[in-house]
Amino acid sequence: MFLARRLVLAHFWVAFAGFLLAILLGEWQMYVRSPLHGWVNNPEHYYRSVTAHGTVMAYVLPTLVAMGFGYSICELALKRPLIGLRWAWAGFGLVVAGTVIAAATVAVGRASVLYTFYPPMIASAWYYIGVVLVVVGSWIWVALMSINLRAWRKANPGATVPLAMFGNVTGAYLWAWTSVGAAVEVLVLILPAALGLRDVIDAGLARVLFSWTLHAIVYFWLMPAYIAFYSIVPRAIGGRLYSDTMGRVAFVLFLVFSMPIGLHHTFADPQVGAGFKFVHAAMTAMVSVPTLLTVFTIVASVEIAGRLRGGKGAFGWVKALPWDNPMMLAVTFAFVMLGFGGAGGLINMSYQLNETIHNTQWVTGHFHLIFGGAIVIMYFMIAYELWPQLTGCATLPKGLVKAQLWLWFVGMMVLSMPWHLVGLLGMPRRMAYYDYTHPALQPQAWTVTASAIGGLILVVSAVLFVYVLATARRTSDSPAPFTFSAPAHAGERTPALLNTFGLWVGMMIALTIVNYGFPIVQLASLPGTAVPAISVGGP
Amino acid sequence: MERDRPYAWSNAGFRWSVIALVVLTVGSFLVGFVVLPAVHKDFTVAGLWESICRAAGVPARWDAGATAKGKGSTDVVVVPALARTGGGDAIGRGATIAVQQCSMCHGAQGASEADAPNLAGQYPEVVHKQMQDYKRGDRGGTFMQTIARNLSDRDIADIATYYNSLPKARTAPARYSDTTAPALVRVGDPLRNIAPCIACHGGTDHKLGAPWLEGMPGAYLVAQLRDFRSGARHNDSHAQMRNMTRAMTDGEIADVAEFYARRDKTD
Amino acid sequence: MTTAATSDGHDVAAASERRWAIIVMVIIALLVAMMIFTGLKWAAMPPSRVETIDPRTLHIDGEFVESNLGTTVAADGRVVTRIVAQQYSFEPQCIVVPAEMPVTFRATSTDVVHGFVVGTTNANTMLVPGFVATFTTTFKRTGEHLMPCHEYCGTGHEAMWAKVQVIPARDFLARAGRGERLSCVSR
Repeated sequence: MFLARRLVLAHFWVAFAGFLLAILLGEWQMYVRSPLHGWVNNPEHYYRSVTAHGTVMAYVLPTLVAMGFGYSICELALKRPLIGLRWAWAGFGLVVAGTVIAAATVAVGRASVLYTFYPPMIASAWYYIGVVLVVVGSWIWVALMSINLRAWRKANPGATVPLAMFGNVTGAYLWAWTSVGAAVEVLVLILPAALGLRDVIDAGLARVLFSWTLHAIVYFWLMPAYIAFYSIVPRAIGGRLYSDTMGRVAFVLFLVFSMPIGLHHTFADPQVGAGFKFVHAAMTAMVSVPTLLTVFTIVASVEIAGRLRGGKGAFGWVKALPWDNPMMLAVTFAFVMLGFGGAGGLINMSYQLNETIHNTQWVTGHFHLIFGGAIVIMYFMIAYELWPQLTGCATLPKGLVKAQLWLWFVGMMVLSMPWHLVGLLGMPRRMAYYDYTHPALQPQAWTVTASAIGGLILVVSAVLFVYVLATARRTSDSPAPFTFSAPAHAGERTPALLNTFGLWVGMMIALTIVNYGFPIVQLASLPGTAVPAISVGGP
Repeated sequence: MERDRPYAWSNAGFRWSVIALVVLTVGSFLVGFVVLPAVHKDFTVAGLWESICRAAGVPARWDAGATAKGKGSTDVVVVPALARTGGGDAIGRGATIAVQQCSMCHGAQGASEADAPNLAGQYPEVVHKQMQDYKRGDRGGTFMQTIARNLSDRDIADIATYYNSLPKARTAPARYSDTTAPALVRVGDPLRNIAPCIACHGGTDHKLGAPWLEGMPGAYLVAQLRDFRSGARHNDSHAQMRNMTRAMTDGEIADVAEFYARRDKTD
Repeated sequence: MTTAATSDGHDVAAASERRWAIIVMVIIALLVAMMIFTGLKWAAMPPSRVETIDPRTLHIDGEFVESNLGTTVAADGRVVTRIVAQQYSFEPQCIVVPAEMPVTFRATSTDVVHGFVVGTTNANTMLVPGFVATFTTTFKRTGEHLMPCHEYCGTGHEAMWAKVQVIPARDFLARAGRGERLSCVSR
């Protein structure tokens, strides 16, 4: 790497430190909610912890990982120094400042509104200011990704953008547009109420604006993992990328369809009409296409690795795969969890089936499995892969890395599978207290105990992850040059449409206007839907 | 060639992508706005255009036959505006009324020696609401009803401002971390539908319209909780206090009242 | 690799990708078709009847005044249950509904966002202040369900739940005299 080494390290360390703290909070929550522990006797502490855990895991960890990974790709894939290093540090500073401000406000109990902060509940203005700073810091990253790509294009006219960078910029543009919804909600609706400038707020409009961000943000979280699937996994396991073009197709489909589907988070809401709910449901079905395409392409790429190692026959290549390689474990675990999590997601998106599980613990189990499981396990691998570049360390201890991955996979399955089940049994979300001696709750008790055990395994895995990174031994040798996956078929020509973003960004914006325009304008112009704001956590 | 003009209609990839997206969008809109609502009588009752509007989320009346039975339990709208107090003039006027009509029971400084509630430092919207409820007969008590009926709305607002300006009997509210508080005050009892008292009456969270309870006469609190429990007092909109007290035992009522009434705690 | 081998391999790859893409589109189309089919056949639809209301005056007059809450049989024979959610209770706290008859729920909130799910049924909705949530469902079996608030509404959220008693339709209709509002709240 050239200039961005310390920048990326800073991003990753803050991300993983926050991750470790937040996971401890998460396990505490699971434990005190379970039959294993008497009631903690302080509901406010519980909701405070849920707010902190959610805010860090949803807004801080994935943003910093995406930013750090993005800067790395700029240098490693484009093979040139990062432009705008000072701005990048400024962006990082904003993210850290925002995190500290928001976290401190939550820690003193002035912002127990959960990371979805649904108004009319209004927390201390500092919490929202903190979140805004985090988002603004990430916008600086978006701008830098665009600037760096443009500079590279000028220096390499007509050349094909390396796949990793293509995915990276896709994620950046997606994030820029998707963050607009929550930004408008916070700046226009919530902060005036939090600062005392208004004492009413339109709760229905706020929820619709938040839903704009709420689903597409998970694709922003997912992009680093998918970039790793395409551009790192095949190389790491000694294979080839089956199709570079399919990778680009997947990325642009995410760009187009992540956005205009957020109303599936408001299926049960009374302020959105049935027509828009169905349209969003149908388009949510479309956003599963890039994942299905990715599964095919990556499994095919993995198969190439198997056959290159001498595997023969319809399934013999599976045995021949480098199972000793941590990346092999990670991608397998990720796909297993993606399979279960994706199936759960299909139920959530099904217009009518969603009614059975809305706001039950099924939803919580689902997103822990798919984000905490499939995506975060690839965040680990991204860190492991980049660590020699970032710190000049020797190869990381393979045994520990594999143990850490196994613990994460097992812990996540043990945590989330019973969680899905207890959601089907009707357990509601975000409750500080359950009495498992009550006959209606008694069948649910074992699931929470199981989840608490799974969570404990995850804590061990998280500690091991940070330990491996922290104790990586420096060597005096400079690291081997970082390479991305090579395509299986050299000379594959990339269509121009899959080398630029104009059409896809245009579609993303157009679909957003078509799918969200009327609901937002309509709610904003309805008279009398502003309701009294309710302050939480003291004056 | 393709590479030179990606955004031209002649580019097959461009053409088919745009067509596919338009077809998908138009198709899902047709299904969502026309086909699916067609099986719901209450969508189509006013014609196709109205059905499309309703599917789009334009508000409509969905229960044409809905008629209310009876009136509400209270007529006061508790909104943040009620919590704003008037200025010095209002305090003066309120003081005059208070001296003449309120202080013999509620105390010269709003801290009563009898079992009437303390009014010193009480939230203005609370005084406002209770007086209006007395005035309209929504809260029982012939004596208070008579007094309230003789006061104008401005008088009530002035009294609220005046009493709010007086120092509270006790200023330190109970918090979730206060382990001396009875369980019901601090954490409620979720299995009996009892939320923590301090979730609405406390120092961390305060629900607009919930009175400041610290230092209230114990006998008054016991009487009110029992009246809510039996339904004799019912000016709490939508039974929010009646639902809380329904499962409380006499012993718990006494404990909660004693906790709030204690006067020896330093601030 | 020779150019011929490369382009052969490429063609094979492209063909298998195309096959997979077609399979994927068929799967997606099937899922969407299922949604449309169930939407048409069983008229199943999430609460999507947009209706505004002023949460500040719910208790004063209008449909959601306290004495009008509970379950009633409307003039046209429909069973309608009206519920109000607030920090921190549902009113009425014990709700009676008949089995095997369509029940229309109409509910709203007076303050923050609440929501409820009835036991393990699909009666599930958000309650957003300023809007009325309406949906219709049928309870197949008699019995008692827990109806917790499932959206975080403040530090009293864990105490906020109601009970739904599903009683035989005959018993319900016998109790439901003309215009009476039923609930099973003990007093």
